[in-house]
Amino acid sequence: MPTATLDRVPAVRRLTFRAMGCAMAVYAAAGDPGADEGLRAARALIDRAEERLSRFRDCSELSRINAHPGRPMAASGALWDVVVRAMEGARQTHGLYDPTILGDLESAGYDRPFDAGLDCDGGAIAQSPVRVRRSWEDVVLDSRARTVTLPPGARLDFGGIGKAWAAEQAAAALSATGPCLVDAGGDIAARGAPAGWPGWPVGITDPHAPDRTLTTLAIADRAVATSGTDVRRWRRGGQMCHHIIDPRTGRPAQTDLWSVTVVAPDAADANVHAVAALILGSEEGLRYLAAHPGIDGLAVGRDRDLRCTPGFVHYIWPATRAGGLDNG
Amino acid sequence: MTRRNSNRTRWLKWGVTVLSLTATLIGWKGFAGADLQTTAAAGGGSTAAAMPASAPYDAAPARMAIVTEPDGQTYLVQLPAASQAAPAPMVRTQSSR
Repeated sequence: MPTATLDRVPAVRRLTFRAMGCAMAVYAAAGDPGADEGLRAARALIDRAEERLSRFRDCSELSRINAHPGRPMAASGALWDVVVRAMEGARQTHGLYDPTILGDLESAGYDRPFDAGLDCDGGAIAQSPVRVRRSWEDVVLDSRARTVTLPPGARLDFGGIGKAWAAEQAAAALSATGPCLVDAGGDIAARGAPAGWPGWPVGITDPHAPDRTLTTLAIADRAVATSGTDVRRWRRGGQMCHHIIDPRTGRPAQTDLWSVTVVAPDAADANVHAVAALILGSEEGLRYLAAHPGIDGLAVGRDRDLRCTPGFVHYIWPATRAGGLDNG
Repeated sequence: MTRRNSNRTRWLKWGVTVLSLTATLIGWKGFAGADLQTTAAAGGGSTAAAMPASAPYDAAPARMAIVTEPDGQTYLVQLPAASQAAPAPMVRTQSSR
């Protein structure tokens, strides 16, 4: 198990660690009894999620299901929950988010943990035929028997939604001790807010200058997720690739956006809508987000233009209420 | 895209450029006189200064954003720079790294 550090700060307790190939951080109000125990429990919950959902672990529950297409496979409560959320996300986005694109992702070269380094000397990406029928629609879920049956040739990847789901689960558990924030590699779930503040201060990374913060949001009882083509990039067959696959082509998405940040009631929702908007591009993607009640977003274009939905402005940290945390 | 929409987008982009430059200049002027405020916040017991997660990140200058309504209508708003009003962020959202 990777090492973790527990930092004492005046008003907030924080636990940081690595899981799911990303930096993780969980926060709880320091004055709440049981905060430290809650932080450790939240971390254990995220670790267990990785054990079940990782496609890079041969012994994970996900790998076991992926290895047996065509057979009804029993699912644990946790994996079942993620599968259902993923299918719901595919339906909501009309297949622009598709959890069954693992084969395409591997064909593009993302066939091992990114930290391990991808094969940049491989040949060009094989030309994929345009899909007539999207395979997420062929996944059979039997809620009574709680089994998942994958169609031949389809395998699941929960790389994005798995982190978002884990963040929600950890936040739900940690909220029993008081206000809390869970950051699962950039997918963020918040419950309540620190005393005296309108929300947890969540910065949006500028994809054109990753050390810079574009703006700061006040997030309470909401989730934030960002999808981008600015990271997890590699060269394959002489062309730049990234990890956002357009299910309509089976290839890395061709988009005029660098990143899309979405605020939603739930981190999994934020994640799938961010992916969909990113694939759609600046004009159609923003209209798509604006048409979904309760979903708001900010898109950063390759030309540095910023576009957002009308409701997104309400999440920006209010100028008149900036202040310090109470030291309670 | 129709020619009319294309022209409107072009004018909006020009508007973004001009307003962003103006906002940046205003931001620089404001920044030049902001030492006292920054010091007071840090020295006044604000835990934002003590947040380990907040230290490494710089704030970008204020930017303009194009707001898109569900019907496709657009207008401009100023997106405040992170340092103008808010405490340093505890966490930052980005595509998974």
